Amino acid sequence: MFLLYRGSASRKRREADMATKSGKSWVAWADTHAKNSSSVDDLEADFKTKAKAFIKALEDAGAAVKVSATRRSEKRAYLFHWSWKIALGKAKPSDATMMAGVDIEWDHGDAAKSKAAAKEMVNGFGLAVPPRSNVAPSLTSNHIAGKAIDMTITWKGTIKVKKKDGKSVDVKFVPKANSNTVLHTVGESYGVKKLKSDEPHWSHNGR
Amino acid sequence: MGAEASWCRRRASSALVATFLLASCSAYPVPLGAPQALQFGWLHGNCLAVKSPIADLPQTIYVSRDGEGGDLVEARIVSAVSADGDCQALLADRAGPNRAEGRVFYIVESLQPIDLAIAVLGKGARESLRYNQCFTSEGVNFSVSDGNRVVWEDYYYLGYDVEATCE
Repeated sequence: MFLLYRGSASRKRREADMATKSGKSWVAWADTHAKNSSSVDDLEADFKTKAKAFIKALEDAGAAVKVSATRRSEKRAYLFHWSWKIALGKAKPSDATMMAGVDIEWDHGDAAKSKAAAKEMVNGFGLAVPPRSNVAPSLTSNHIAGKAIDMTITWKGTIKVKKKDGKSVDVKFVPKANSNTVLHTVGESYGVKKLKSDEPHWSHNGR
Repeated sequence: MGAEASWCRRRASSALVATFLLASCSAYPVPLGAPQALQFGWLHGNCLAVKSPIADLPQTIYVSRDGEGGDLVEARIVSAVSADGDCQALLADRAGPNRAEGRVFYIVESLQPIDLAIAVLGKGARESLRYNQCFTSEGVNFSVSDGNRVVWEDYYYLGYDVEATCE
């Protein structure tokens, strides 16, 4: 039993030695290895078909569609979440779960050093912090599941956009997409639903 | 309107009541101190986003950090943003939507640290206004109210998923 314990402890130590300690180098790592996508092709298969059809209808009608985000990286979200929690003292380094493909050691063997290293990541990622932001960045979302798309849609005047059933609808441009309910009904006909609190955000369920 | 102004000027020649009458005449512009004289923008860190370019730099501004009008602190716009890396709102994951609607970005100097905040530009009764901010699913809604009337609002796209706090 003792030998087993010693073996397990030394294995953990070896693993920790191999892992890279948290800190700002992980920001550069994430910008290379854990990037978010803005390609519609990276969406989940069913939602991709729906989003492509909606975008085609908009572009056929003369609108310009600029996609800013589709599938967000799960690894990036993991780094956001745990760096925020550890930097702000809302979790200990030992609380952090592990993630395959992200060989990070959150524990620097000293609480202050661990927090400081996590804070470097929070700053590098540009995360909002208290007093305004009191909840950690989310580990799960429609974007991470590939079922949401952020896009800016612009046109001049009024355009005729085809709904999925082939009927054309007059859609007048208003600067705030959140209030363009006619545009929302067109998107909904394709299964692309507007979240009315976030200007660029559309998803499979409106959340 | 011209006759009204002329009547006002004649009556205002009587010394003691002049100030009161001039201020009462509708022909005169909105008095200094009205919210209409103010402009607003939002900040993340020391980077300010506004919807109209600012001609005169440096310029003093006031920053509401905690959402209440009583916490306005002085800061200074020093320059336009020259590189996206200088501005958290222009990080790769969020630059596109934040540049939309013609927003322009400036570097702000402040003696006190700023995270998310509303900036007040110009002269006016800024202390009587209410400054609000709340989180949406992937951004921040900023607004300024004068009583029950919203006088300004804008949205900051964070580009990652957070828990919404807006009602």
